[in-house]
Amino acid sequence: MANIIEISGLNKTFRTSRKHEPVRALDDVSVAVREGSCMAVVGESGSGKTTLARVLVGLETKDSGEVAIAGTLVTASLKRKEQRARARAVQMVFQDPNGSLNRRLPVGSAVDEVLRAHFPLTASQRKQRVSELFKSVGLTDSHAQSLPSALSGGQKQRVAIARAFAAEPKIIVLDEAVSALDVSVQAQVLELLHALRRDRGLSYLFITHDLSVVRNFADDVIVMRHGQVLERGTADDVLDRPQSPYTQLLLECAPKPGWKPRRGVIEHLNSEIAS
Amino acid sequence: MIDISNLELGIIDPESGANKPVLKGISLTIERGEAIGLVGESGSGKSMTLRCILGIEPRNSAVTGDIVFDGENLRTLPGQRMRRLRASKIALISQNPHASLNPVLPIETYLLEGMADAHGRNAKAARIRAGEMLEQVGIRSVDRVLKAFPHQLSGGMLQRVVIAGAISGRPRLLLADEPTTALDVTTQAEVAAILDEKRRDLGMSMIFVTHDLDLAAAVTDRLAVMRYGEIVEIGTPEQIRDNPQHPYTQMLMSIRPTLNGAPPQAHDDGGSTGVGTLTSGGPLTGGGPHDGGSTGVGTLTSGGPAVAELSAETQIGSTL
Repeated sequence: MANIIEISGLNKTFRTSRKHEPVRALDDVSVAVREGSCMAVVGESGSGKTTLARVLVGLETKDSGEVAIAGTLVTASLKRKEQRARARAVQMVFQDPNGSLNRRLPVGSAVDEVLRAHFPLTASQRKQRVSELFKSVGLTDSHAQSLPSALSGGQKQRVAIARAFAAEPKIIVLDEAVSALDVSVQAQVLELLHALRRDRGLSYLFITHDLSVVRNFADDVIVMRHGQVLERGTADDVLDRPQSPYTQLLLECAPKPGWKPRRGVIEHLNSEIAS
Repeated sequence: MIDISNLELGIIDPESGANKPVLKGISLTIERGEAIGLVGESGSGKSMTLRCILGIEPRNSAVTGDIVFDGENLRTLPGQRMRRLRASKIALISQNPHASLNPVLPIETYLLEGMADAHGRNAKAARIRAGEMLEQVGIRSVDRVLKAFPHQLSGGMLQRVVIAGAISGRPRLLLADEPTTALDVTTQAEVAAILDEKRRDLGMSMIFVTHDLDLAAAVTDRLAVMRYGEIVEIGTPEQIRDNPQHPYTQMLMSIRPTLNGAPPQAHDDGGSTGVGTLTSGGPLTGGGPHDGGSTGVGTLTSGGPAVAELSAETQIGSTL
């Protein structure tokens, strides 16, 4: 199957202040995502996983490297129309749904706005479409007319998913999209995401720190640390036979039945990587 | 050591005077040196139970029931006595270390303040003790950390500082409210190990609040599973893991994603089959207290909590 995303040799540095060395957030990162698959990006804070997502979506510029979406290279010289198409093709769902909702407007307006931006629809057609989209994520018209404050965290995250789907994208970037949810709600939202992907042939870039979610949700995975990809492979391969000491450490530190936390694991890793 | 009996807490609506029950009769006994885990989802009342022990529940709440700590009923203790107790015998570690630390004062001030207050040590002795405490929680560059301001340290480092502060007074009871939830998984393992080790060394009792069953099981002797303001089940981590009795515990155990390839067996929790299923274009699932809402106020639900009941069909492993 063709690759829907091809990222090669991507670099990004952030200059925090004149006194400090620039931070290499992305250090020669290459990723290919097969069409219709779910690629998990795993790493801890500061690993560069969110920067990777932001560059892909276009929220951040890159220093060097190439990003191709559905075979089209994304460059600064793209025409306005092409840029719009790119913006539509890649949608993002964030950890905190409040970030994509205006607390003074009914949540349906967040979805309506996307429709207005991308499709030549009349007001009544948009209303109809908002209603369909809410239904597809398990919400009703009365939810669409409520303010964000009247919805629970899980419901707001479903609105954020409906908003992403409204653009009829090819790719959805999920940046810790289920991390803040309770396990029972998380399971519902993951199942919803899975069903939507299956029905519409979408591809996901799934950013997470939670390896057990990777096991149950992703096809492939890359493990990142300090801006570099340390390991890549199918989710089962990486979780069952981790090659990198860092992946092994992540697996060892994840709480599981019969697990006990041990002191000194981080120091052990640092010495192993240094040697 | 601490005996909580029939603790009830309701939030009173200032306008209507309506009483919204948050805790519905919690009873729990913790032995000397025992660690107990309070596990449950948001809104289950885990944190509110801790707040009642400390006497820092919200203003507009009505509390009944008894909390007897070392022979004294904390619910009827005069303010001054309660304050002494909080300074010396009960310590709290919260999820966000910034909540405990003053952003404009160095770490040193935080640690010394606590020690001087609780034990009347002189400044020099307290300073030496503060350094020792930081070493005990695995901090190498003690001098640098003592002089640092909170914003200059990482979350894991700050949480170690807060643990050092909490155990420095050798409290009898440690209240840990999601102490590692905001940390990276490797840092979480390190901080949880430190907390567990220090608690055992000093023979302290602990109430460990978390949503992570496996984490709670690793650092406690017994688990109490909470839901909607009630303890639905209590037992050793092994009992809860291998032989959960309550349908809610069974659901929690079966639904959580696991690292193993084979997901745990789905179960039938009776009567609610199909209601909680979410598919694209599928029926609305109720947004009751299950649905991640912290308050539940004003949520749009088509039914009561029963509607939000998760059926075996929502078990993700079996469908992926």
